[in-house]
Amino acid sequence: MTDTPQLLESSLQKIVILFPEAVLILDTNGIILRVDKQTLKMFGRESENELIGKSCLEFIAEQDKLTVDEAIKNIFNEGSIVGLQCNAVNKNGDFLRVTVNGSIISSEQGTKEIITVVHDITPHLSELEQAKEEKRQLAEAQQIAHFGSWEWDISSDSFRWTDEMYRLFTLSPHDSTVNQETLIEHVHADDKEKVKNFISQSLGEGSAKVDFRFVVPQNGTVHWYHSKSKTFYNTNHEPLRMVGTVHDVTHEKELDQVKTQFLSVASHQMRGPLTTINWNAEMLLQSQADGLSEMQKKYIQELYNASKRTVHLTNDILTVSELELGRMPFKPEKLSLPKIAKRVLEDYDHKLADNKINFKEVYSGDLPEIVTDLFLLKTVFNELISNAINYTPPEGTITMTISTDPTRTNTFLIAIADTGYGIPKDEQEKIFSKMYRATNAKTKVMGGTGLGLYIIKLILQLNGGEIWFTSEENKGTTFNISIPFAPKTEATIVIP
Amino acid sequence: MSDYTRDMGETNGRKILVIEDEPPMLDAIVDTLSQNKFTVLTSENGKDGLDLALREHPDLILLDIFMPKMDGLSMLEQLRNDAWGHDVPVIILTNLNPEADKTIKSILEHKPAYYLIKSNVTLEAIISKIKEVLKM
Repeated sequence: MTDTPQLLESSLQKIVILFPEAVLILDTNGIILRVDKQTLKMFGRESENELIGKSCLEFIAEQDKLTVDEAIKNIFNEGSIVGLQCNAVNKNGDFLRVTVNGSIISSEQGTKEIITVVHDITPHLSELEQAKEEKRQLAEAQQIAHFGSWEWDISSDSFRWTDEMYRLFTLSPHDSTVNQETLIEHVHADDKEKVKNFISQSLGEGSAKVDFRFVVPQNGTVHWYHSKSKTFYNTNHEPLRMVGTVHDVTHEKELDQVKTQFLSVASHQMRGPLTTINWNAEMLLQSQADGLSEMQKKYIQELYNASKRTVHLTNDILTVSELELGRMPFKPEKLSLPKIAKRVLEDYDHKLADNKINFKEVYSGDLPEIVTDLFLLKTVFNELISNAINYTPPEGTITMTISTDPTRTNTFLIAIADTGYGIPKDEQEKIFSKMYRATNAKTKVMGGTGLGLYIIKLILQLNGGEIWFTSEENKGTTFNISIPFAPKTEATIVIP
Repeated sequence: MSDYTRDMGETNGRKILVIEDEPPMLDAIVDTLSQNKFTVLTSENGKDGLDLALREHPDLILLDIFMPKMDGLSMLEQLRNDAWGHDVPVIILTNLNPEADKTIKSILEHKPAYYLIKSNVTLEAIISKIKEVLKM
C-alpha cells in the first residue's frame, strides 16, 4: 500500500487507495481511459493495458450491457449514476456482482470524463445467501426435533424466538410480540413459579435448566417441555443476554411413566416368591428345624441373606416408582427428629455391633418438632444411616448431628459424618443419579442398590429440603441435609 | 378345597383365621401359628373365608388381598358390616403397598385393619404382632 499509484493521477488518489472499490475513468462513450490498482485486482488483470482503450461494456455480462450503456448515455441528463447493480466479468469469465456509482468530472484539459467507482459485492452476497440457507436448515431441524431456541437481550428487554418456539407455544410468528410474560403466561399454573426460578437462577448462576408443562389453550392438551439457558455477562458481571432452548419431551415423559408403572407392577409381583423364600428359610433356620448340619444352616443363611437383599432392592424400586409417579402419600404430622432417628437406629444395633462401629449422636437441646410425613422421614434416616454403615470399614466412627441450620430460618440441619471409603472426586457429581454407584462402593460393598441417595433427593423435593456432601477418598464423607420445620406448600414431585 | 382346622393338641385357646390363596405362604403361616399353640382355621378365598369367620368367630383374621372369588378388601367391607365382624381384629397381610391402590387407601380409612407387607416381615414378627393385638 506504500507504493505510489501511477495509474490514477488525481487528487483523489490518496483517499481511494484506502478503499476496496475499483475506480475507472471513462470518456463520454464509455471507453476506459485510466484505472487504479484495485480495478486490476478486481478484474484479475496484470496490466492496465489490458483495459485501457476498450469499452467498459466489454467487461459487463451480456444481460446487463444494455442497462450499463444506457446509464452512461444518460449520465449527462441525470448528472450521476447511483447504485447501479450489474454483473461484471473478470479475466476467468467469472461473474462479479457489482454496484456502480459514477459522476462527471472535468479533465485537466477541460474535457468531460466519467469517474466510476465499482464495488464488488459478490462475497457479501454469498455470505448473505449462506446465512439464509443456514437459517432455513436450522428452522427445519428445529421443526423436526420440536426444538426451539430463544434469545433475550436483557438491556433492551427484547426477545427473539425461532419459528419453532412460536410453534411450541402455538403462537404465530407474525402476529405476536414476545416478552418474558409471554413465556410465563403459557406455562402450566403449577409450574409458573419454577420457570420464574429458572430465569432468576440463570441470571445469577450463568445457566439453568427446567422441566415444565405447557397447556395448549385451544384444547387443554398438556405438553412437557425441557428448557436450558445460558447467560452472558459484561466485564462488571452484569447480565447482557440470555440464550436458551426449549425441547418438547412429552413423548419421553410418557415413556418414562410407562416404564415406571411397569417397574411398580413387576416389583409387587416379585415380592410374592421372595416372601416364600424368606419365610421358608426362616423356618429352616429356627431351632425347631432339626436334622440340619451347621454347613447346611450356613448355606440356608446365605440364601436367606440374598433374598432379603433382593427384597430391599425391590422395595427401593417401588419407593422410587411411587415417588416418581407422584402417588406417594404425604401425610404431614408433628414429629420429633431425634426420636425418629433413634427409632430407625435401633434396627442397626446388630450391624453396628458386628462391625464394631462407634455411632455418636449429637442432638441440640430444645429442637422444635418437625411437620412432615413419618414414612418418608424414616426412609431418609434409613437410607442415610445404612449408607454410612455400609461404606464405613469396621472400627470406624459415624457421627449424626441434628441441629437448627444457622444459615437459614426455620430449618433443621442433619449431618451424618463417617470415616468411610469416601466418594472419588471425579464421581462426586454423579452420586445423586438414579442407580449410580461409585466405583469403590461397588467393589467394597455388596448389595447396594444405587437408589438410596436418589430416594432422599426425591423425598427432600417434597419437603422443600436439600442434600449436599463433602467427601475425601479413604477419609470419609459427610452428608448434610437441610429440611424446613414444615413443608411450604402441598408439593408435587417433578422428575428431573 | 376345604376349610380345615389344624390342631397341634395343646393350644393357647386363641383361634386365628388365615385367608390366603397361595399354598407355600399359607403353609408357612399355618405351621408357625401351630408351633405357637394357636388354633388355626384356613380358607383360600374371601368368600369362603367370610362364611367361616361369621360361623366360627375367630379371635383374629389374617387376610390376603389378591384372591379368587372374593378379594380381601371386599371381604373386609362385608365383615365390617356384621355386628360381630365390625370389631374383630384384622391384619391385612399382602405384598401390595397401600399407596399403590386407591381403593386400599379409601377402604382402610373407614374399615380399620392392621397392615403388614409380607416380604418385609418375618414370621416371628407376624406372631409378635398377633400377640400384641390380642394383648397376650
